[in-house]
Amino acid sequence: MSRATEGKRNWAVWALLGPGLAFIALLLIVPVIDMTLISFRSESFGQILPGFTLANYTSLVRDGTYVQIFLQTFLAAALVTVLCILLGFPVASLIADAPAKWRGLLYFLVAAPLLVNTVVRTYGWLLILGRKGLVNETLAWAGLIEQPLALSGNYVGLIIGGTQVFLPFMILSIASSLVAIDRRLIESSAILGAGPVRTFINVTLPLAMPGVIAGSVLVFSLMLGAFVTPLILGGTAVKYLSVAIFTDALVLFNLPRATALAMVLLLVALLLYALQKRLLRRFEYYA
Amino acid sequence: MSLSAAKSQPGSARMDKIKVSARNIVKRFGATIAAADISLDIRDGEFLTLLGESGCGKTTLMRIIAGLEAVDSGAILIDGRDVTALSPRERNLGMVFQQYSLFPHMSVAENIAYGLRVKHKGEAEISKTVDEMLELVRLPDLRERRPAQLSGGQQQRIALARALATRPSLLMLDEPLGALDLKLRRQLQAELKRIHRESGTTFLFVTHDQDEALFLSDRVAVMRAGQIEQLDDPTRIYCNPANRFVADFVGDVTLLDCEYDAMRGGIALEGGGFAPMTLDVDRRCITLVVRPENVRLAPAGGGEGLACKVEDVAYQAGTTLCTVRLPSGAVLKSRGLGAPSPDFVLGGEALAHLDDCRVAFIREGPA
Repeated sequence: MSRATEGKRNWAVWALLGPGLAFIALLLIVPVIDMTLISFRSESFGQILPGFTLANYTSLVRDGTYVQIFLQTFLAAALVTVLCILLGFPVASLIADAPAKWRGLLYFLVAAPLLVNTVVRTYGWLLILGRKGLVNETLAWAGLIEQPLALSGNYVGLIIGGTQVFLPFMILSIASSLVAIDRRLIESSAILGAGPVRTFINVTLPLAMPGVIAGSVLVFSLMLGAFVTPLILGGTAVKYLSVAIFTDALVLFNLPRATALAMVLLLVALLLYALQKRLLRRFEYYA
Repeated sequence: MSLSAAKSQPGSARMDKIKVSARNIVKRFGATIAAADISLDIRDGEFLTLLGESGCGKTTLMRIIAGLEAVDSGAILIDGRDVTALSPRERNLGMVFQQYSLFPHMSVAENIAYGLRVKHKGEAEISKTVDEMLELVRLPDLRERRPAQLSGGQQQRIALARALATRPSLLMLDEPLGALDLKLRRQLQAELKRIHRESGTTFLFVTHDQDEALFLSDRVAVMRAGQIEQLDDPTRIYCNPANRFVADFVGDVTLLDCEYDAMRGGIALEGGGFAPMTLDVDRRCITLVVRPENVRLAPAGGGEGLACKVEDVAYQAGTTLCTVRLPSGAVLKSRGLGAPSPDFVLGGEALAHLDDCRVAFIREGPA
């Protein structure tokens, strides 16, 4: 190809990429820079004042409430991630072991809840977990409890709801790893004398780790940023990071502190991404 | 395992023992019959090959012996013990698959040690066996490598080492050389033969490559549609095929339908032509198995022989393969040593002689 046509091609490529890149620059990069700058400013009654301060960040560490918010949020994300792994792995195995013709349907069934709006799904959980919800009514009818259990408006509700909302991501991620495992590796292990448990621990699990890691990072970061589920199922009892950001920004009009919180969240997400890259490299066997 | 194990000789005391016995194995997948009442005895220390086209049931039979596939009916005996109901892990077997099925997340040494670890052997013994196995497959320097860092041929040798490390009663090889290129395949065939000899293990080999089967095996079972058509040593499979299918499947061949005339001492071909030969048969209608090395070409106009027309002359590194057509339309191939003779040119006439002492015949003649 001559230089001239190559140049023309490059032009066409840039022309096609242009609108997309412009959108990303305007709606992602510029706001993030703007947010970063605001997080170092102070405010008074909703007015952002000129000058530079680290107070928004230092207060996050000094103020006990914020420390508690961070701990509660990270713990919730960690718990939901672990529960998703434990509940998701068997389902993913089922999908991977299913005949190829059934797999499409199973994938769809797993992903189907994602088609329903999170707000609607979370309200659905409220109907099930509420004081007069399905679980409490059933248990009371069976005579197992006298007082309704507190299953919503608290940490328990948050974890149950979060797990259900993000489980599909974990299942799909692990299943894609399991499907890629050659069946003959499992058969080789059996012929060499290993029982199912040993084969699972020594062969299946190590080879499924890329899926587990990718799914965990996805679920953990999604749960960290979750807003609807903590708001509806956590209620006022749970102080959640995203809810706190919302309150700071749109109720208290303290934009600098809200952006400082958001920056911390962003930083954690980036760190997780870097960690995932590192971990996954360790599990790249076929490179 | 002793690396200097006695070479397995047919007829030796060891070979008289039956290592694995498949009895009346029946297996269906839906409407397909993978095994139609197969019975097969594998002798101790022998190299037995299941030969057949894809879909003939050879891999299924192997997987049934391995316990990876259940039987509809029949029994599998290993060392005289009925193992039909046992899982693969309880059968003490070894298996090498076509695609390298080494554990990708383990080093070469860990792969070889896997079966020994599972069986709770001591570390000292494991280390010693790993060394022995690497020595056996002649890759002693690759201990710490990962499978992805090995070539295809190296991976298959390590797979062999891993399978042999547990001293299996039977080593099964499911087209282990199928994914390799021709030169490497030849090299590994010779290696396989040596390893079989040195390890003294009984080998069950599956392939669709007849050259490979004949070269490697003590005995070959030619399979078709879930049945064993013939089970014999390679020479008899080639020279005395039991039926038309085996003759046609193994080696380059022309099947000539003809009439045997005991009075005149020769065969009369359809469409004319007579070739003198003495056959020990009592029926008139027979099918001759003519291999390229049984056909000798002579220049035209020189007395007896089957008149034919030269259709192709191909020099194949050391030998020349001539393709000739008889008046009946039948095509014969003739292999001769050395470079092409100037007597035979494309489109020219020639005389074909059937060297009767080496021409086999099929017992089942056409109706």
